[in-house]
Amino acid sequence: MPDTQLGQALLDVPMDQIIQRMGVAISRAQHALDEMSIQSAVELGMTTLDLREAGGAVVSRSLFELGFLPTFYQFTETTIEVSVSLSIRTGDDQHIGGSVSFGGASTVPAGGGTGATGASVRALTGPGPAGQLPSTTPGGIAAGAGQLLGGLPVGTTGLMYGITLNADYTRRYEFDSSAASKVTTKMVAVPAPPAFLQALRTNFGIGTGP
Amino acid sequence: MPTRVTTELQQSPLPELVQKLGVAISQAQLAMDQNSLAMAQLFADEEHGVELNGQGVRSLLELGFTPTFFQITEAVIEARVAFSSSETTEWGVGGSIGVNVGFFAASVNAHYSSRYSFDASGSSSVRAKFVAVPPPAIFNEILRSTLQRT
Repeated sequence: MPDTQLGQALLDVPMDQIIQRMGVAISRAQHALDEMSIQSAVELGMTTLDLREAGGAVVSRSLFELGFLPTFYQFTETTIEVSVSLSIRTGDDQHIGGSVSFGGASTVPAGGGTGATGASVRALTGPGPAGQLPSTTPGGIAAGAGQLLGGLPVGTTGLMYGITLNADYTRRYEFDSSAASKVTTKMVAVPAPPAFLQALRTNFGIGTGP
Repeated sequence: MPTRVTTELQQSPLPELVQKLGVAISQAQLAMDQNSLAMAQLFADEEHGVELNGQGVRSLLELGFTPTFFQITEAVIEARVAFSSSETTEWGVGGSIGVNVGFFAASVNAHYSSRYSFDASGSSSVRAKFVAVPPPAIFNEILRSTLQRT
């Protein structure tokens, strides 16, 4: 059933894993940021500037001593948006049709028989041998026969018919899915932890503070 | 069974993208600090100073020039991925039978079509705010003490 597939597909969206991965990534990024800030703090403590005092003596002061502080960042807010859209469409098409056709046709009369004319043949005997009397035979009369040549009878009608049946069956299945994920996170510069600053001052021998 | 879209969504490198962009912001801050420190050292170096009449060589720092320190006070990272897939399958059979006087005809036809498309898109943006911060108070104080030489 499409409804079941749709519900199962929505259930299969690994929402928890997506959020978990994002949370872990934010945590890792925070850790990397802290490491970078600590590195920056150490550099501030190691970098020195040579300055001349009012008396003209050159004093070397570290930047940390001069008041420069490392920048710490914090992910203050993270928004995860996951949207999934699924669409399943199934369809059946059935089609049955038929047609019956009739048609008629009539023949055209034949073009008339030609009457055969009788032919008479008259044969004359040639001079016969002497002593024979010429005799005449009666003129043969050839029999003339009028014959009507064959043809279809005039006015005959033919009937044609046809039956056609057709059937179609079509099954269609469509599955559209789309998913989008959006992450927005905000980083804000925060002051360095006081205990860390105190430890740095102690480390670089600055004392209790500027 | 998870669809390809949800699988891709799960495996999308969005978290890594956010992580790298965040670290990039921090690295940018560190690079800017290092640049400002280099500038400060340059300003303090008398070799790059200015020789004034009767007052010897004075460094730029002594003359009141201070390096500009920038701070990224706020950054907004946005990453987005989108996947879409479309799958269509269609099959069908059809036939026709015809009977006419003197002959008989039959035909059968079948068709099958399958279409599949997959789209993926992604975008990311970083909005960072750079603010020039004044040098620390102690730095200024020491600078003032150097200025007392004048």
